[in-house]
Amino acid sequence: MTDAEAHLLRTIALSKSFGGLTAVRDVSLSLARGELHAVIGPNGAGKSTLVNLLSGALPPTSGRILLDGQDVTGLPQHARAHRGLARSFQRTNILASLTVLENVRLAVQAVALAPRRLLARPEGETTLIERAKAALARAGLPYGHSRIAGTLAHGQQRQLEIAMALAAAPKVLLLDEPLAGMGPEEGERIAQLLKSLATEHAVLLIEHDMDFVFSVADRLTVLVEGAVLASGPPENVRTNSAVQAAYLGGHAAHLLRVEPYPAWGIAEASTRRERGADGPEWHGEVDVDPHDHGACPGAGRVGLDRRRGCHRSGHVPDRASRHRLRS
Amino acid sequence: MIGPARMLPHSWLGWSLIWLGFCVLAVLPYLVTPFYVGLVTTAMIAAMLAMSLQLLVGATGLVSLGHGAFYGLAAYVVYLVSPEGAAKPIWMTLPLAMAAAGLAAFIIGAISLRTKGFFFLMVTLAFGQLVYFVFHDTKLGGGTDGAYLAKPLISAFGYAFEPTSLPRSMRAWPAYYVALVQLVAMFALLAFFLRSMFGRVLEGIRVNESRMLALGFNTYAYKLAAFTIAGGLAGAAGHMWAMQSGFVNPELVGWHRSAEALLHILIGGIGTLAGPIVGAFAFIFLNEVAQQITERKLLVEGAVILAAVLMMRNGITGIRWLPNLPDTDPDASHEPREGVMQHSREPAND
Ligand SMILES: Nc1ncnc2c1ncn2[C@@H]1O[C@H](COP(=O)(O)OP(=O)(O)O)[C@@H](O)[C@H]1O
Ligand SMILES: [Mg+2]
Repeated sequence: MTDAEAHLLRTIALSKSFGGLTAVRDVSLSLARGELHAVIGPNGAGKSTLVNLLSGALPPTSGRILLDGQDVTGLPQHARAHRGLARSFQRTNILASLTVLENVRLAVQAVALAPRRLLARPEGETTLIERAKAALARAGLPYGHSRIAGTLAHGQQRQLEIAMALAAAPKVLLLDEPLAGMGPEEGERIAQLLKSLATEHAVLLIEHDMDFVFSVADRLTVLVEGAVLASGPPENVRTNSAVQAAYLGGHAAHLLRVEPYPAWGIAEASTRRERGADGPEWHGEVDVDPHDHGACPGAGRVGLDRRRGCHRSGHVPDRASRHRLRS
Repeated sequence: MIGPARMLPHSWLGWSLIWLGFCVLAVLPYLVTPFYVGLVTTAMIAAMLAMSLQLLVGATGLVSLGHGAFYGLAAYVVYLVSPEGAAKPIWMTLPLAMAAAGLAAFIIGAISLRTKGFFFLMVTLAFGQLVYFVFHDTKLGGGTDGAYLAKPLISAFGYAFEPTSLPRSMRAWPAYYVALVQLVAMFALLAFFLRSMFGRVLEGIRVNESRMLALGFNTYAYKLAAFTIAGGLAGAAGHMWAMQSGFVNPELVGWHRSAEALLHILIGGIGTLAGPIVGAFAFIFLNEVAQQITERKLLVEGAVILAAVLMMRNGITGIRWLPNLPDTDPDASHEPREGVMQHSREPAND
């Protein structure tokens, strides 16, 4: 196997600055065919920015990106999609007023339609439509294709988001927190899907849920303040002392999960696992900035569900179900 | 289901109304006085301009204030290829006028489409005014006063519809029917585009351009294609205006034309292809009525437009004549519990 084959996607010292803020700092990572590479890190670590750099939505400040051995750093976003790069968005980004099927059909059309057919009617392009339906079924949406995408439940919109990325049959899939906003059942389905996808594509997965990441990833990269803190197989990363110091030790591990809501004015938080009626449950104690109670009323002791918002009970439903799912 | 092309009627009723409208236009000259034949010709030309702009505004989500430039430019092309003296046949002037307008649209679009939203509005306005001042400040087309065209105006394949050879009551007919044929042809052409996968891409761009870009569509190229086509079609309208009125002046190019076309779209309905036609007709007849009943024409006009726009958010064609026809609501089908059921519910051609 040549180097290019081994590394389907590679970045070399990739950096991105927004004014004075360096969101991505000297990141060099590689993604092999058939590999699921997870990138973790606290909120604001630069994970989404990294995905934007890879997909071409943002130009890097410095560094290079190689896709299949070719430099694509200067290629516009749409051209990268044609080279086999597809992405999903952390914040659902769909064609809300079009039907579910049309969303995915356009995703197929973007990369698979011969230009000379552009003036033909879409209804006749059965190959495109079949491909779109297959991608929808795979992402867990086998029916309801005539619905307007914006009227789907939030979790289903997340699945649609994934179907749109899948539909292009890309070489490299960049998934930015695909599980965010999904219920436990869909979450499990998507977890299975990710595992099966990783056998055919190279998958770069951004995910907040550490337990999930450790269970599915072949390689892990920990990003902190835009820079790579550690990278390697999950077990190496887990035992890496820098990572342990920064994240996995004690309360700090859970800070990772609380941080997405700085707007709540959370000053400090800790969570612990307890035996619940049907499996382990996570309970959280959160100190909320006394100046900012407005966003999370009744603070003091609250449970946190970063996916749904602020819960006043001491129970974190998503975390609990995710745990059930694993054990 | 992919869903229907949004801007076209979703039911047989809508289509019937449109074809009925065209049929009425086809027999209208037999029913009304020559004055109204001329007035309806003017309305059809305005409708063509507004409908060409609708490809940008309604279909792609691009609001341009420079569309009048392509319209006026095309009118000037008619003058420039047939200055005082020999008139040129329509099969020559029409393609030339459309090509010139399309070329100008391509160049102006290539630059303006680098910007978005408000800036796009301003850049297209600036380019439109640039073209205006070319005709206003140079002797190219008679300067500020404009110029008269050579006659006969409408001739084809050696046969000239010389208006003076017709009875007085029918002199406006040739221009009327030529305009009607072009209006119907433009409607059919735009319907064809909107139904095609090209049209679906424009719709996707209107809804969420950044997502389309991420999916792999070169949205700039698609927008430029739409801008060029729209410019060329505006050229057909401008050409027809020169044909009908027999003179050109810089007012044809100015931004007022563009704003008026936008107003026609707003009145008729931003979400439909037929909207600009209805809007242009409504506007021009309102104009006429206001002129007959009062000195303060613009005031009446403004008030009626304001009321219309406030009361009908989607314009005249956005009014639901019948509540929710079965096939007007793409979201009507409810999600069944089993996937199997869905197959029996969805038509095979979805
Ligand atoms: N378009 C942008 N302009 C300015 N700053 C940005 C932009 N995108 C992201 N940032 C900043 O870059 C940092 C990294 O953000 P992001 O990549 O979204 O982090 P993550 O996905 O890891 O949570 C944040 O501080 C964020 O505010
Ligand atoms: Mg992010």
